[in-house]
Amino acid sequence: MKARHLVLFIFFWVLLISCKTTSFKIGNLDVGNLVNQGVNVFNANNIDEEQEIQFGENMSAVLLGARPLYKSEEINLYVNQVGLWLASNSERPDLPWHFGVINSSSINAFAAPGGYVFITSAMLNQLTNEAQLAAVLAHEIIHVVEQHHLDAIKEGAMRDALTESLFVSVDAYQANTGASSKKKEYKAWSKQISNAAQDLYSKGLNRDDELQADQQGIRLLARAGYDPFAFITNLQVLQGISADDSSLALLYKTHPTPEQRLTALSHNIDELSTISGELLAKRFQKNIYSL
Amino acid sequence: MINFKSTYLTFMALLLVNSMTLSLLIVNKAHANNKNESSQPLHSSKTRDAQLVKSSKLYKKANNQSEVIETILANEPVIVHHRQRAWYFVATEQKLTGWLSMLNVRFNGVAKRTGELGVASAFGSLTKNTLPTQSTGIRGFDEADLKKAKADFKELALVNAFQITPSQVKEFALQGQLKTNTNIEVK
Repeated sequence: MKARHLVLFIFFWVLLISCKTTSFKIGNLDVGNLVNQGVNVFNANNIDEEQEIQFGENMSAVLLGARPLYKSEEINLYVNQVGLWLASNSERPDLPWHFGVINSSSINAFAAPGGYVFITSAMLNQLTNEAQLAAVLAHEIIHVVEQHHLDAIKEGAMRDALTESLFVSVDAYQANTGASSKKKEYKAWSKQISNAAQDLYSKGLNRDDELQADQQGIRLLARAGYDPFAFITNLQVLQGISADDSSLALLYKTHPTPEQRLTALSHNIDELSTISGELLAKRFQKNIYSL
Repeated sequence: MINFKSTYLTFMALLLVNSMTLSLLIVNKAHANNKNESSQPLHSSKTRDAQLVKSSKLYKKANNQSEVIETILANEPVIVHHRQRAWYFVATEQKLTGWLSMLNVRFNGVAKRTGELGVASAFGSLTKNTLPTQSTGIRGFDEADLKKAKADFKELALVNAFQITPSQVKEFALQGQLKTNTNIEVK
Protein backbone atom coordinates (compact mmCIF):
# COMPACT_ATOMS: atom_id res chain seq x y z
CA MET A 1 0.00 0.00 0.00
CA LYS A 2 1.33 3.32 -1.00
CA ALA A 3 2.05 5.79 1.77
CA ARG A 4 -0.66 8.17 0.50
CA HIS A 5 -3.29 5.42 0.62
CA LEU A 6 -2.17 4.46 4.11
CA VAL A 7 -2.57 8.05 5.29
CA LEU A 8 -6.06 8.22 3.75
CA PHE A 9 -7.06 4.91 5.34
CA ILE A 10 -5.92 6.09 8.78
CA PHE A 11 -7.71 9.40 8.31
CA PHE A 12 -11.07 7.79 7.52
CA TRP A 13 -10.65 5.20 10.29
CA VAL A 14 -10.00 7.97 12.83
CA LEU A 15 -13.01 9.90 11.47
CA LEU A 16 -15.25 6.85 11.91
CA ILE A 17 -14.12 6.28 15.48
CA SER A 18 -14.48 9.95 16.37
CA CYS A 19 -18.14 9.90 15.37
CA LYS A 20 -19.21 7.15 17.77
CA THR A 21 -21.61 8.52 20.31
CA THR A 22 -23.05 7.80 23.71
CA SER A 23 -26.10 5.58 24.23
CA PHE A 24 -29.29 7.59 23.87
CA LYS A 25 -32.72 6.78 22.46
CA ILE A 26 -35.29 8.83 20.62
CA GLY A 27 -38.40 6.83 19.81
CA ASN A 28 -37.08 3.49 18.64
CA LEU A 29 -33.83 5.07 17.47
CA ASP A 30 -30.59 4.32 19.19
CA VAL A 31 -28.86 7.64 18.78
CA GLY A 32 -25.88 6.15 20.50
CA ASN A 33 -25.28 4.18 17.34
CA LEU A 34 -25.64 7.22 15.19
CA VAL A 35 -22.84 7.52 12.75
CA ASN A 36 -22.33 10.07 10.05
CA GLN A 37 -20.64 8.09 7.34
CA GLY A 38 -23.81 6.58 5.93
CA VAL A 39 -22.77 3.07 7.00
CA ASN A 40 -25.82 2.68 9.22
CA VAL A 41 -28.65 2.36 6.73
CA PHE A 42 -31.96 3.19 8.33
CA ASN A 43 -34.93 0.88 8.35
CA ALA A 44 -37.42 3.21 6.70
CA ASN A 45 -40.31 0.83 7.35
CA ASN A 46 -40.05 1.42 11.06
CA ILE A 47 -40.59 5.13 11.42
CA ASP A 48 -42.77 6.23 14.33
CA GLU A 49 -44.59 9.57 14.65
CA GLU A 50 -41.86 11.14 16.76
CA GLN A 51 -39.28 10.35 14.10
CA GLU A 52 -41.63 11.51 11.36
CA ILE A 53 -41.96 14.90 13.07
CA GLN A 54 -38.21 15.13 13.59
CA PHE A 55 -37.52 14.26 9.98
CA GLY A 56 -40.01 16.96 8.95
CA GLU A 57 -38.26 19.52 11.16
CA ASN A 58 -34.93 18.77 9.54
CA MET A 59 -36.38 18.91 6.02
CA SER A 60 -38.13 22.19 6.85
CA ALA A 61 -34.91 23.68 8.19
CA VAL A 62 -33.27 22.99 4.82
CA LEU A 63 -36.19 24.54 2.91
CA LEU A 64 -35.83 27.61 5.11
CA GLY A 65 -32.11 27.55 4.49
CA ALA A 66 -32.83 27.88 0.76
CA ARG A 67 -35.20 30.80 1.21
CA PRO A 68 -36.20 32.42 4.52
CA LEU A 69 -39.61 33.04 5.99
CA TYR A 70 -41.50 36.09 4.84
CA LYS A 71 -41.02 38.44 7.76
CA SER A 72 -44.57 39.41 8.61
CA GLU A 73 -45.92 37.84 11.76
CA GLU A 74 -49.46 38.92 10.81
CA ILE A 75 -49.43 37.14 7.45
CA ASN A 76 -47.78 34.03 8.88
CA LEU A 77 -50.31 33.90 11.73
CA TYR A 78 -53.16 34.30 9.26
CA VAL A 79 -51.83 31.43 7.12
CA ASN A 80 -51.49 29.37 10.31
CA GLN A 81 -55.12 30.05 11.23
CA VAL A 82 -56.35 28.91 7.83
CA GLY A 83 -54.06 25.88 7.88
CA LEU A 84 -54.91 24.85 11.42
CA TRP A 85 -58.65 25.00 10.70
CA LEU A 86 -58.13 22.75 7.68
CA ALA A 87 -55.84 20.40 9.61
CA SER A 88 -58.42 20.11 12.41
CA ASN A 89 -60.77 18.69 9.75
CA SER A 90 -58.17 16.24 8.45
CA GLU A 91 -57.52 12.63 9.43
CA ARG A 92 -54.53 13.68 11.57
CA PRO A 93 -55.76 16.68 13.59
CA ASP A 94 -53.41 16.01 16.48
CA LEU A 95 -50.12 16.43 14.67
CA PRO A 96 -48.20 19.57 15.70
CA TRP A 97 -49.10 21.48 12.52
CA HIS A 98 -47.02 24.49 11.53
CA PHE A 99 -47.52 26.75 8.51
CA GLY A 100 -45.26 29.41 7.06
CA VAL A 101 -44.83 31.77 4.12
CA ILE A 102 -41.47 31.42 2.37
CA ASN A 103 -40.15 34.62 0.83
CA SER A 104 -39.63 33.59 -2.77
CA SER A 105 -40.52 34.68 -6.28
CA SER A 106 -41.12 31.05 -7.27
CA ILE A 107 -44.71 29.88 -7.34
CA ASN A 108 -44.79 26.81 -5.15
CA ALA A 109 -45.84 25.17 -1.90
CA PHE A 110 -44.14 22.48 0.14
CA ALA A 111 -44.96 20.03 2.87
CA ALA A 112 -42.64 18.18 5.20
CA PRO A 113 -43.46 15.13 7.31
CA GLY A 114 -44.95 15.59 10.73
CA GLY A 115 -47.11 18.65 9.98
CA TYR A 116 -45.00 21.33 8.26
CA VAL A 117 -46.56 23.22 5.35
CA PHE A 118 -45.10 26.18 3.45
CA ILE A 119 -46.43 28.43 0.71
CA THR A 120 -44.24 30.88 -1.18
CA SER A 121 -45.05 34.58 -1.26
CA ALA A 122 -45.28 34.38 -5.07
CA MET A 123 -47.91 31.65 -4.82
CA LEU A 124 -49.82 33.81 -2.34
CA ASN A 125 -49.62 36.57 -4.93
CA GLN A 126 -51.60 34.47 -7.39
CA LEU A 127 -54.57 34.13 -5.04
CA THR A 128 -57.50 36.43 -4.43
CA ASN A 129 -59.43 34.80 -1.63
CA GLU A 130 -59.06 32.63 1.47
CA ALA A 131 -60.61 29.58 -0.19
CA GLN A 132 -57.81 29.59 -2.77
CA LEU A 133 -55.21 29.84 -0.01
CA ALA A 134 -56.96 26.98 1.80
CA ALA A 135 -56.89 24.95 -1.43
CA VAL A 136 -53.10 25.24 -1.66
CA LEU A 137 -52.69 24.29 2.00
CA ALA A 138 -55.21 21.42 1.73
CA HIS A 139 -53.17 19.79 -1.06
CA GLU A 140 -50.04 19.96 1.12
CA ILE A 141 -51.87 18.76 4.24
CA ILE A 142 -52.92 15.61 2.38
CA HIS A 143 -49.25 14.90 1.55
CA VAL A 144 -48.54 14.98 5.29
CA VAL A 145 -51.64 13.01 6.31
CA GLU A 146 -50.91 10.29 3.76
CA GLN A 147 -47.18 10.29 4.59
CA HIS A 148 -46.24 10.67 0.94
CA HIS A 149 -42.74 11.92 1.75
CA LEU A 150 -42.05 8.90 3.91
CA ASP A 151 -43.26 6.67 1.07
CA ALA A 152 -40.88 8.49 -1.25
CA ILE A 153 -37.89 7.83 0.96
CA LYS A 154 -38.91 4.21 1.49
CA GLU A 155 -39.34 3.50 -2.20
CA GLY A 156 -37.00 5.90 -3.89
CA ALA A 157 -33.36 5.98 -4.67
CA MET A 158 -32.81 7.74 -1.37
CA ARG A 159 -33.40 4.56 0.54
CA ASP A 160 -29.82 3.37 0.37
CA ALA A 161 -28.49 6.70 1.53
CA LEU A 162 -30.76 6.96 4.53
CA THR A 163 -29.24 6.95 7.93
CA GLU A 164 -30.74 7.30 11.36
CA SER A 165 -29.20 10.71 11.69
CA LEU A 166 -31.94 12.21 9.51
CA PHE A 167 -34.43 11.47 12.26
CA VAL A 168 -32.57 13.13 15.10
CA SER A 169 -33.03 16.73 16.15
CA VAL A 170 -30.22 19.23 16.03
CA ASP A 171 -30.40 19.58 19.82
CA ALA A 172 -30.28 15.83 20.41
CA TYR A 173 -27.48 15.50 17.92
CA GLN A 174 -25.37 18.18 19.51
CA ALA A 175 -26.14 17.12 23.09
CA ASN A 176 -25.13 13.55 22.40
CA THR A 177 -22.17 14.08 20.17
CA GLY A 178 -20.86 17.26 21.71
CA ALA A 179 -20.46 18.48 18.16
CA SER A 180 -20.78 22.23 17.86
CA SER A 181 -22.02 23.72 14.63
CA LYS A 182 -18.42 24.44 13.64
CA LYS A 183 -17.18 20.87 13.94
CA LYS A 184 -16.82 18.66 10.92
CA GLU A 185 -19.06 15.95 12.44
CA TYR A 186 -21.90 18.46 12.64
CA LYS A 187 -21.20 19.65 9.14
CA ALA A 188 -21.33 16.07 7.88
CA TRP A 189 -24.65 15.51 9.65
CA SER A 190 -26.01 18.79 8.31
CA LYS A 191 -24.85 17.85 4.81
CA GLN A 192 -26.75 14.56 5.00
CA ILE A 193 -29.92 16.40 5.89
CA SER A 194 -29.41 18.88 3.05
CA ASN A 195 -28.83 16.08 0.57
CA ALA A 196 -31.98 14.27 1.69
CA ALA A 197 -34.07 17.46 1.40
CA GLN A 198 -32.60 18.23 -1.99
CA ASP A 199 -33.50 14.73 -3.20
CA LEU A 200 -36.98 14.97 -1.78
CA TYR A 201 -37.89 18.42 -3.08
CA SER A 202 -36.10 18.46 -6.41
CA LYS A 203 -37.25 15.00 -7.52
CA GLY A 204 -40.73 15.49 -6.15
CA LEU A 205 -43.28 12.93 -5.11
CA ASN A 206 -44.89 10.11 -7.00
CA ARG A 207 -47.33 11.37 -9.66
CA ASP A 208 -50.15 9.29 -8.14
CA ASP A 209 -49.47 10.88 -4.75
CA GLU A 210 -49.83 14.33 -6.31
CA LEU A 211 -53.13 13.38 -7.89
CA GLN A 212 -54.32 11.85 -4.61
CA ALA A 213 -53.43 15.10 -2.83
CA ASP A 214 -55.68 16.89 -5.34
CA GLN A 215 -58.56 14.41 -4.98
CA GLN A 216 -58.50 14.48 -1.20
CA GLY A 217 -57.45 18.12 -0.96
CA ILE A 218 -60.58 19.37 -2.71
CA ARG A 219 -62.68 17.26 -0.33
CA LEU A 220 -60.83 18.58 2.70
CA LEU A 221 -61.51 22.09 1.42
CA ALA A 222 -65.24 21.35 1.14
CA ARG A 223 -65.34 19.56 4.49
CA ALA A 224 -63.81 22.61 6.18
CA GLY A 225 -66.60 24.81 4.78
CA TYR A 226 -64.72 26.49 1.93
CA ASP A 227 -65.88 26.71 -1.68
CA PRO A 228 -64.28 23.55 -3.14
CA PHE A 229 -64.12 24.99 -6.64
CA ALA A 230 -61.48 27.45 -5.51
CA PHE A 231 -59.21 24.41 -5.95
CA ILE A 232 -60.09 24.27 -9.67
CA THR A 233 -59.62 28.03 -9.97
CA ASN A 234 -56.08 27.69 -8.60
CA LEU A 235 -55.15 25.07 -11.18
CA GLN A 236 -56.66 27.19 -13.95
CA VAL A 237 -54.72 30.22 -12.76
CA LEU A 238 -51.49 28.19 -12.80
CA GLN A 239 -52.38 26.78 -16.20
CA GLY A 240 -52.85 30.34 -17.45
CA ILE A 241 -49.29 31.35 -16.59
CA SER A 242 -46.77 30.89 -19.38
CA ALA A 243 -45.28 27.40 -19.05
CA ASP A 244 -41.74 28.67 -19.55
CA ASP A 245 -42.04 31.20 -16.73
CA SER A 246 -39.05 30.51 -14.49
CA SER A 247 -41.15 31.03 -11.37
CA LEU A 248 -42.89 27.74 -12.16
CA ALA A 249 -39.81 25.67 -13.05
CA LEU A 250 -39.59 23.62 -9.85
CA LEU A 251 -43.36 23.26 -9.54
CA TYR A 252 -43.63 21.89 -13.08
CA LYS A 253 -40.66 19.58 -12.56
CA THR A 254 -42.19 18.04 -9.45
CA HIS A 255 -45.90 18.00 -10.28
CA PRO A 256 -48.12 16.83 -13.13
CA THR A 257 -49.10 19.80 -15.33
CA PRO A 258 -52.19 21.79 -14.30
CA GLU A 259 -53.91 20.39 -17.41
CA GLN A 260 -53.25 16.82 -16.27
CA ARG A 261 -54.40 17.67 -12.75
CA LEU A 262 -57.58 19.34 -14.00
CA THR A 263 -58.39 16.36 -16.20
CA ALA A 264 -57.84 13.93 -13.34
CA LEU A 265 -59.94 16.01 -10.95
CA SER A 266 -62.81 16.41 -13.40
CA HIS A 267 -63.58 12.68 -13.21
CA ASN A 268 -64.02 12.68 -9.46
CA ILE A 269 -65.85 15.75 -8.27
CA ASP A 270 -69.46 15.20 -9.29
CA GLU A 271 -70.54 14.79 -5.69
CA LEU A 272 -69.23 18.27 -4.88
CA SER A 273 -71.19 20.02 -7.66
CA THR A 274 -74.03 21.12 -5.39
CA ILE A 275 -71.86 22.23 -2.50
CA SER A 276 -71.34 25.90 -1.92
CA GLY A 277 -68.83 27.13 0.60
CA GLU A 278 -67.14 30.30 1.70
CA LEU A 279 -64.63 32.23 -0.42
CA LEU A 280 -63.75 34.91 2.17
CA ALA A 281 -62.15 37.30 -0.29
CA LYS A 282 -62.43 40.33 1.98
CA ARG A 283 -60.80 38.60 4.96
CA PHE A 284 -57.99 37.38 2.72
CA GLN A 285 -57.27 40.81 1.31
CA LYS A 286 -57.56 42.48 4.71
CA ASN A 287 -54.96 40.11 6.15
CA ILE A 288 -52.64 40.26 3.18
CA TYR A 289 -52.81 44.04 3.14
CA SER A 290 -51.70 44.15 6.76
CA LEU A 291 -48.16 44.52 5.38
CA MET B 1 -25.40 90.08 -2.47
CA ILE B 2 -24.52 87.47 -5.10
CA ASN B 3 -24.27 84.83 -2.39
CA PHE B 4 -27.65 85.82 -0.98
CA LYS B 5 -29.27 85.64 -4.43
CA SER B 6 -27.72 82.25 -5.14
CA THR B 7 -28.84 80.86 -1.77
CA TYR B 8 -32.33 82.27 -2.29
CA LEU B 9 -32.59 80.63 -5.76
CA THR B 10 -31.33 77.30 -4.43
CA PHE B 11 -33.85 77.45 -1.55
CA MET B 12 -36.72 78.19 -3.93
CA ALA B 13 -35.67 75.37 -6.26
CA LEU B 14 -35.56 72.91 -3.38
CA LEU B 15 -38.97 74.11 -2.19
CA LEU B 16 -40.39 73.54 -5.65
CA VAL B 17 -38.95 70.00 -5.89
CA ASN B 18 -40.25 69.16 -2.42
CA SER B 19 -43.75 70.38 -3.15
CA MET B 20 -43.80 68.47 -6.46
CA THR B 21 -42.67 65.28 -4.69
CA LEU B 22 -45.32 65.78 -2.02
CA SER B 23 -48.02 66.29 -4.65
CA LEU B 24 -46.95 63.14 -6.46
CA LEU B 25 -47.05 61.16 -3.22
CA ILE B 26 -50.53 62.46 -2.41
CA VAL B 27 -51.77 61.66 -5.93
CA ASN B 28 -50.22 58.18 -5.81
CA LYS B 29 -51.71 57.47 -2.37
CA ALA B 30 -55.13 58.62 -3.51
CA HIS B 31 -54.79 56.48 -6.62
CA ALA B 32 -53.77 53.48 -4.50
CA ASN B 33 -56.70 54.04 -2.15
CA ASN B 34 -59.11 54.26 -5.06
CA LYS B 35 -57.70 51.03 -6.43
CA ASN B 36 -58.16 49.28 -3.12
CA GLU B 37 -61.70 50.52 -2.71
CA SER B 38 -62.70 49.54 -6.19
CA SER B 39 -60.76 46.27 -6.27
CA GLN B 40 -62.79 43.12 -6.51
CA PRO B 41 -61.63 39.52 -6.60
CA LEU B 42 -61.40 37.70 -9.93
CA HIS B 43 -64.58 35.71 -9.41
CA SER B 44 -66.85 38.75 -9.15
CA SER B 45 -65.71 41.54 -11.40
CA LYS B 46 -62.61 40.78 -13.40
CA THR B 47 -62.79 39.16 -16.77
CA ARG B 48 -60.33 36.76 -18.33
CA ASP B 49 -59.90 35.53 -21.85
CA ALA B 50 -60.29 31.79 -22.12
CA GLN B 51 -61.21 28.98 -24.46
CA LEU B 52 -62.98 25.65 -24.27
CA VAL B 53 -61.09 22.38 -24.14
CA LYS B 54 -64.09 20.51 -25.48
CA SER B 55 -67.53 21.23 -26.91
CA SER B 56 -69.81 22.34 -24.11
CA LYS B 57 -73.39 23.39 -23.61
CA LEU B 58 -73.99 27.01 -22.73
CA TYR B 59 -76.76 27.03 -20.12
CA LYS B 60 -79.13 29.83 -19.17
CA LYS B 61 -78.59 29.14 -15.46
CA ALA B 62 -75.72 27.66 -13.48
CA ASN B 63 -76.96 24.09 -13.54
CA ASN B 64 -77.23 21.41 -16.18
CA GLN B 65 -81.03 21.13 -15.78
CA SER B 66 -81.58 24.60 -17.16
CA GLU B 67 -82.26 25.68 -20.73
CA VAL B 68 -79.43 25.15 -23.22
CA ILE B 69 -78.71 28.34 -25.17
CA GLU B 70 -76.13 26.97 -27.57
CA THR B 71 -73.39 24.38 -27.88
CA ILE B 72 -69.99 26.04 -27.90
CA LEU B 73 -67.30 24.23 -29.85
CA ALA B 74 -63.87 23.23 -28.56
CA ASN B 75 -61.17 25.91 -28.82
CA GLU B 76 -63.77 28.65 -29.24
CA PRO B 77 -62.76 31.79 -27.32
CA VAL B 78 -64.91 33.06 -24.45
CA ILE B 79 -64.63 35.82 -21.88
CA VAL B 80 -65.04 34.60 -18.32
CA HIS B 81 -66.89 37.10 -16.12
CA HIS B 82 -67.49 35.36 -12.81
CA ARG B 83 -68.05 32.02 -11.15
CA GLN B 84 -70.85 30.35 -9.24
CA ARG B 85 -69.88 27.02 -7.73
CA ALA B 86 -68.60 24.92 -10.68
CA TRP B 87 -69.93 27.27 -13.37
CA TYR B 88 -68.45 30.24 -15.19
CA PHE B 89 -70.65 33.02 -16.55
CA VAL B 90 -69.18 33.72 -19.98
CA ALA B 91 -69.67 35.82 -23.10
CA THR B 92 -69.00 34.28 -26.50
CA GLU B 93 -67.76 35.89 -29.71
CA GLN B 94 -71.34 35.67 -30.99
CA LYS B 95 -72.38 37.94 -28.11
CA LEU B 96 -74.16 35.12 -26.31
CA THR B 97 -73.97 34.97 -22.54
CA GLY B 98 -74.61 32.04 -20.25
CA TRP B 99 -73.08 29.42 -18.00
CA LEU B 100 -70.38 26.87 -18.85
CA SER B 101 -68.96 24.11 -16.69
CA MET B 102 -65.71 25.57 -15.33
CA LEU B 103 -63.97 22.24 -15.87
CA ASN B 104 -64.23 22.71 -19.65
CA VAL B 105 -62.65 26.16 -19.63
CA ARG B 106 -58.96 27.06 -19.75
CA PHE B 107 -57.62 30.58 -19.25
CA ASN B 108 -55.38 31.93 -21.98
CA GLY B 109 -51.73 32.17 -20.98
CA VAL B 110 -50.41 35.49 -19.75
CA ALA B 111 -47.08 36.80 -20.96
CA LYS B 112 -43.98 35.33 -19.42
CA ARG B 113 -42.67 37.53 -16.66
CA THR B 114 -39.27 39.03 -17.21
CA GLY B 115 -38.04 39.48 -13.68
CA GLU B 116 -38.35 38.42 -10.12
CA LEU B 117 -41.01 39.67 -7.82
CA GLY B 118 -40.54 41.92 -4.88
CA VAL B 119 -42.92 41.16 -2.07
CA ALA B 120 -44.27 44.69 -2.03
CA SER B 121 -45.11 44.54 -5.71
CA ALA B 122 -46.22 40.96 -5.33
CA PHE B 123 -48.85 41.69 -2.72
CA GLY B 124 -49.66 45.06 -4.23
CA SER B 125 -50.55 43.32 -7.46
CA LEU B 126 -53.47 41.51 -5.93
CA THR B 127 -55.76 44.17 -7.31
CA LYS B 128 -54.28 44.07 -10.81
CA ASN B 129 -55.24 41.99 -13.78
CA THR B 130 -51.66 41.60 -14.90
CA LEU B 131 -48.69 40.11 -13.14
CA PRO B 132 -45.93 42.39 -11.91
CA THR B 133 -42.65 42.32 -13.75
CA GLN B 134 -40.33 44.43 -11.63
CA SER B 135 -37.29 42.95 -10.02
CA THR B 136 -36.78 44.11 -6.48
CA GLY B 137 -34.43 41.50 -5.22
CA ILE B 138 -36.54 38.58 -4.03
CA ARG B 139 -35.07 35.41 -5.43
CA GLY B 140 -36.81 32.29 -6.59
CA PHE B 141 -36.61 28.80 -5.26
CA ASP B 142 -35.06 26.29 -7.58
CA GLU B 143 -32.85 23.22 -7.55
CA ALA B 144 -29.70 25.34 -7.31
CA ASP B 145 -31.06 27.00 -4.16
CA LEU B 146 -31.81 23.60 -2.67
CA LYS B 147 -28.36 22.34 -3.59
CA LYS B 148 -26.70 25.21 -1.78
CA ALA B 149 -29.10 25.26 1.17
CA LYS B 150 -27.92 24.53 4.68
CA ALA B 151 -30.39 23.68 7.42
CA ASP B 152 -31.45 26.90 9.13
CA PHE B 153 -32.75 25.98 12.56
CA LYS B 154 -33.18 29.62 13.58
CA GLU B 155 -35.73 30.12 10.83
CA LEU B 156 -37.38 26.86 11.84
CA ALA B 157 -37.68 28.19 15.40
CA LEU B 158 -39.59 31.18 14.01
CA VAL B 159 -42.07 28.83 12.34
CA ASN B 160 -42.46 26.82 15.53
CA ALA B 161 -43.08 30.05 17.47
CA PHE B 162 -46.35 30.79 15.64
CA GLN B 163 -48.71 29.52 18.30
CA ILE B 164 -52.48 29.49 17.92
CA THR B 165 -54.71 27.67 20.37
CA PRO B 166 -57.53 25.33 19.26
CA SER B 167 -60.09 27.77 20.70
CA GLN B 168 -58.58 30.59 18.60
CA VAL B 169 -58.85 28.37 15.54
CA LYS B 170 -62.53 27.70 16.30
CA GLU B 171 -63.14 31.42 16.78
CA PHE B 172 -61.40 32.11 13.46
CA ALA B 173 -63.66 29.59 11.70
CA LEU B 174 -66.73 31.05 13.41
CA GLN B 175 -65.86 34.57 12.24
CA GLY B 176 -65.63 33.28 8.67
CA GLN B 177 -68.85 31.28 9.06
CA LEU B 178 -66.87 28.15 8.28
CA LYS B 179 -68.59 24.98 9.41
CA THR B 180 -67.40 21.41 9.12
CA ASN B 181 -69.44 19.57 6.50
CA THR B 182 -69.59 16.15 8.10
CA ASN B 183 -71.22 14.65 4.99
CA ILE B 184 -67.94 14.91 3.15
CA GLU B 185 -65.34 12.28 3.85
CA VAL B 186 -61.73 12.94 2.96
CA LYS B 187 -60.55 9.76 1.29
